[in-house]
Amino acid sequence: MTSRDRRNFIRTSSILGGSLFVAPHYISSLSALQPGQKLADRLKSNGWFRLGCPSHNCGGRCILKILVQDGIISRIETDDRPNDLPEEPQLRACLKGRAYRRRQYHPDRLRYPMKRTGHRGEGKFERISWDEATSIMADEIIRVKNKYGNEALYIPYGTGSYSQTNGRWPAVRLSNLIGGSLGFYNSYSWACISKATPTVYGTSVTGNQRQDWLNSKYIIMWGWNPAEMKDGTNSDYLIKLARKNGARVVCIDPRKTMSAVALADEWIPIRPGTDVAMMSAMVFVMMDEDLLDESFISSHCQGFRSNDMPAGYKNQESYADYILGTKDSIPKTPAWAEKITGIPAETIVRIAREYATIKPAMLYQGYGMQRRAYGEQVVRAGCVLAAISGNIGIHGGWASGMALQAGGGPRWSVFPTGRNPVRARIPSFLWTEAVIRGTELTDKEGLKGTTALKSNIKFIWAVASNALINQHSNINRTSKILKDETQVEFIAVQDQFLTPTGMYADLLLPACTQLETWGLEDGWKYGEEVILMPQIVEPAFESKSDYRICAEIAKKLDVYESYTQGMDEKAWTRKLWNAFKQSRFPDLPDFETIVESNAGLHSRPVKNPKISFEDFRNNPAANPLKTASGKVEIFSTELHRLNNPKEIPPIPKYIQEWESPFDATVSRFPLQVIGPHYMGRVHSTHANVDWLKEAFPQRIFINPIDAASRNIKDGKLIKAFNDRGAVILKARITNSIMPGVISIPQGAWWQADEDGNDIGGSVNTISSERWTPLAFGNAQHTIMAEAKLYKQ
Amino acid sequence: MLVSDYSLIIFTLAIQLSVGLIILFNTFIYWPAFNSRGTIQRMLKSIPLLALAIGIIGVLFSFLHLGHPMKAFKAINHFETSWLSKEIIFLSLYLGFLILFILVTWTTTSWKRIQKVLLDLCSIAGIILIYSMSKLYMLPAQPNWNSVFTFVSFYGSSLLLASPLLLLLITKKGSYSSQRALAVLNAALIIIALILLPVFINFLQQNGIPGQQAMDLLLGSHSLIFFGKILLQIVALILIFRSLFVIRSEITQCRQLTIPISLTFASLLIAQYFGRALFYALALSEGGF
Amino acid sequence: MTQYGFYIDVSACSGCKTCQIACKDKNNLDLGVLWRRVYEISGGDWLKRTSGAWEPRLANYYLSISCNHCEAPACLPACPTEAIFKNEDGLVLINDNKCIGCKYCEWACPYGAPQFDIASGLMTKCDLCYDYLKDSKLPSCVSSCPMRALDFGQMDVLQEKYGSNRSVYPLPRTDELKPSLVITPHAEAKLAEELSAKIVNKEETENVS
Repeated sequence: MTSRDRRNFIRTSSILGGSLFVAPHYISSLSALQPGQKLADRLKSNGWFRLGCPSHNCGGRCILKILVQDGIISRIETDDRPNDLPEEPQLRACLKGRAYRRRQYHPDRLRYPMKRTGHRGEGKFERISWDEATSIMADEIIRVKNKYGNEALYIPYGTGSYSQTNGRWPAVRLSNLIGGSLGFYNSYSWACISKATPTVYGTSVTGNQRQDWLNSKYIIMWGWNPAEMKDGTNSDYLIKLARKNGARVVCIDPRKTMSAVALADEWIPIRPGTDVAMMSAMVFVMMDEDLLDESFISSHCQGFRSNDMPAGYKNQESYADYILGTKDSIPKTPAWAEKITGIPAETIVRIAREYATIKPAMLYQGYGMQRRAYGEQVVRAGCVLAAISGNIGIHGGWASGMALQAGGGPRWSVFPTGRNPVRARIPSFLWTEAVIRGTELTDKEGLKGTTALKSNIKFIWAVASNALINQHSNINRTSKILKDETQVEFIAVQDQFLTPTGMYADLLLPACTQLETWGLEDGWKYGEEVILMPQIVEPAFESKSDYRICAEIAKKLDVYESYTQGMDEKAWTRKLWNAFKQSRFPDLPDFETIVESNAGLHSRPVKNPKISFEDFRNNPAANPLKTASGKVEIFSTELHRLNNPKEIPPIPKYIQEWESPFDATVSRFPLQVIGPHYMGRVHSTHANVDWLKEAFPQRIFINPIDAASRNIKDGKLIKAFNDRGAVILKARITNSIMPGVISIPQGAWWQADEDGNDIGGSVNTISSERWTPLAFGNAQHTIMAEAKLYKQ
Repeated sequence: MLVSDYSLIIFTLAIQLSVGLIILFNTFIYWPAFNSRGTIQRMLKSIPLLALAIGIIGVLFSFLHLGHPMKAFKAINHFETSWLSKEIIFLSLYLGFLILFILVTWTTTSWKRIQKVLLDLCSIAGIILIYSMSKLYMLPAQPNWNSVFTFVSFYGSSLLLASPLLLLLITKKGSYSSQRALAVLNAALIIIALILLPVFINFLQQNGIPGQQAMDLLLGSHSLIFFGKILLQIVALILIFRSLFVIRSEITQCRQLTIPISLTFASLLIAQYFGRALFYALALSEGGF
Repeated sequence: MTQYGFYIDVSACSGCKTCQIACKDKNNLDLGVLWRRVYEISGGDWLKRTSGAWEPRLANYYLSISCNHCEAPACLPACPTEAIFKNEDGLVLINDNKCIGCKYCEWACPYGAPQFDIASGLMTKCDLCYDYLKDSKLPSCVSSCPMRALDFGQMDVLQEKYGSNRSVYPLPRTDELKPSLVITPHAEAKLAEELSAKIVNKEETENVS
């Protein structure tokens, strides 16, 4: 796609629709647009509404207070419940929620169904009617189904619209009514951690309820950045309170993140991808100085020393063997780790001592470091550290790992999608493989539910997903795959904007925002609340809710009745509200009551936070873990059986990444590139909101040392590139990133210039499609590249 | 930068040039030695008119800077504390006296005492005007402006631009001594400007973070304009020296002078435009806010 | 005369800019107009060991600033039209009828508070959400802060609650202008001063009029 095409498209759509920009203009353009309709008829509501902030798979679930005047949103405030106590803090929205007007009334909102006119990926479309659009959808579904079977249909991973009634779920429900579609498992967020945590603990529920953080005395935020990535509304605030309560907070991260600045007493820069080396050296120190919780290890853990090894594995390398270098002759000393991690040995020693002796202590792992090559290892190593220091099952401690909260976490989906008649599932990250060689995939590539696929993917329906292009690795490769119309024969994209993924659509279906339909959510990961999201304004132009679009398609496929069961969006929301009432929140008020009250949410305080593994700690024999041994598996027999010790060792090991500052290509690509979450975006959502771009412009962040050696000046255009592609952005020279590492925050929208360089600045232009060995997860943060001044 | 601040650049330079013309003109009247062939009398009508025209151009450009030009008259309200109010008052007085002088001069044939008084008042108002104009920028919040260099720059620009322009106007009719005096004055001013440059650089280097940032700017993103300005001043200096060589007798060939002096004036005008643009670019507040 | 002011807990500010956006939404501010801005202060250097390990000596923090409604504001005497005034609640306000949009207050204020709005041709700035104050509601920025790092109230009350410090590096001339602030500095503020740390996100904070 060229930028000219994009401009032309946008200009065309602007002429068609008039400007949707600022509220006052919106009124006139709206009435001008719909001449037959009286404005008054459109005005549902006036006044303040309390509701859930539109949910786009950020880690927050917050409350907005929105002022609607004459059917237009004119102001957005946030939770103002009078008591703001730690057990039930206000759910204050971040800047993205507060800037929502600029998204809601953005001039680029998709207004009408459109079909492709040029080549795929060119971005040329023409307006069509909803009737034509839904007919095309139904015809294509039937054609592909008949020709290739249901396994050729695919509704990819996508989290752009994430409330229960919106986004993918309604599409999956429809698909399941017509014979199903190829399924997927795991996610782009948590592939390694969700796979590896149970290999240690037998569960992913390894977290305490957050209020327990206030009991901690030592907190390591290891690659964890709650201020920027919002791992639960208020997680950053609760760390602040924990610190106020006397906890010392240390942040280990390649960047001096916002969390490091606002929450930590100390920041330790670490070379990306080397966390396991530091963890191993910490264990070395703890062994050397006798700082381990020996009684916990002997009674609760498997495989730390030879005598803890399971029967039949006594001669295998135990964790202690690995740390001391008994078998590989490399003791994992702090000096060894210093060369790998870039952290002075005495710092590693000190942190090991502090973590082992200041009790209770939390080692909180972020998710970025498991979206890397061998990302499984860091998850396991972190869990092991928590266990052998005796920090699990106690107040103020933390078992590390995936850390879903004790006492029941959120229900990720309550929308009844039904059973998928297609049992075959692929790892979510491997969909391009399923496009180009799906029938060749085996369980070695994570195929589940079948031994072989009957077809490659031939039909893609991307709902609220920008993961076809922007959020999937190696964009230039994906672009080439998708442009080949003999591979995927039909692509429908259903979204609120023309995303980079939308540019590859054959059919564009305009979805309305979550403020224009009904929905609900419960707290994300943490949080004891159900949040209602009533419709407060009418859908803009011809956009419809995801559910309504699916229902219209269902009509063409003759499954309308079974699809809708006679319910509209509000009725489904009522049904789902009751589903929460019947499960997690028996004390939930009636749906009508909550709607009438305009409270926006039902929440309950956490006065006595629940602790994971409390029973197991107190009596391991009576309350064994759901691992094979019932113990904390430092050595995993299950992983040993996979017989791939180099990539999937049964004990957590530091493995040099496949792209690394220590390998041969470093002369060409000496810089490590990381793609962290950015404050102004949720992945690629909000990337087009002007207020947010003003606050957090997309830049390549580079250390002054790396900038100086490349003659890069602050604010000048630079090109970050490797063999996969090139990103061109302005440089921001900052001390807040370690030398040898540059940061291109993920989620900016890919935009190719005439030479194929990405001037939009998506880090995935240079990320790799290679997946991790155990979880088949995305290793999108393992990137080596070079940067230089860009001259046009 | 060259474009975004154009209204203020043109306003300040035009006013300073206008005032400079009047001051030099008045000086010539005070020292008739420079006036051997009655040059000034012959230009009594044209030069003030030119100064007025340049002044009015300046005022018009100043309106372009305002968000509400039609309310500009309100700017005199805060005379006690605001140097901007004072600037506007003295600008009005300056232009007022100038207009009165022109009216009297154009309606009478012989030189009258009232003209002298008006011209003196006009000069004094002009000098105070440039003082106010300088003080206006000498804000504690703007450390790179808040020094004597602002006075030097504004009064300097005044004479630096006015001297070659006046010289140009009297190439035909001017006396040898007056031409020579103006050329010498202009050369001296350029030399002073060039000598003061390292002093100013030294001042910036000592001027905390805003000064350092100014240096980064002058040697970095704005270096082309910075060195361009110096180069143009040197070119002007060479041209004016060459002219001095030409003005060595009463029988100066005016054609020989017109071109180099025009070029001198043009070079200096562009140099001062660049310099003033840099001046505004140095608005780097204390603390960097 | 009462004097309202802000409390800023610089030590707890994550630089998320929710306050900035809440302000823009409340006041319908165009791009380039930032009544509240969040400055990123950064300074220091990185030392490399022979092992390749890094030892940073850095100071970093964020400073959220709107108009400080100074007791002795620098903008007020500079304004040529007397458009800027201090009201009975200590608020520094701009009278739109008098303002001619000359931008002189912008130069005079060392804190970047007055900002030119192209659309109206007027200087604009934080009015402490004066309409909210009348309804006993907190200013939009204060109630927005996810870190609870902002507070608002009468200066004497704030000082009683949080102490009397009204400055943090690199806020200039706080003794002279007496900004109506109570500040808890960041732990790295002293180091920042030693290292001559600078504001490094200028492009994100500048009024682009």
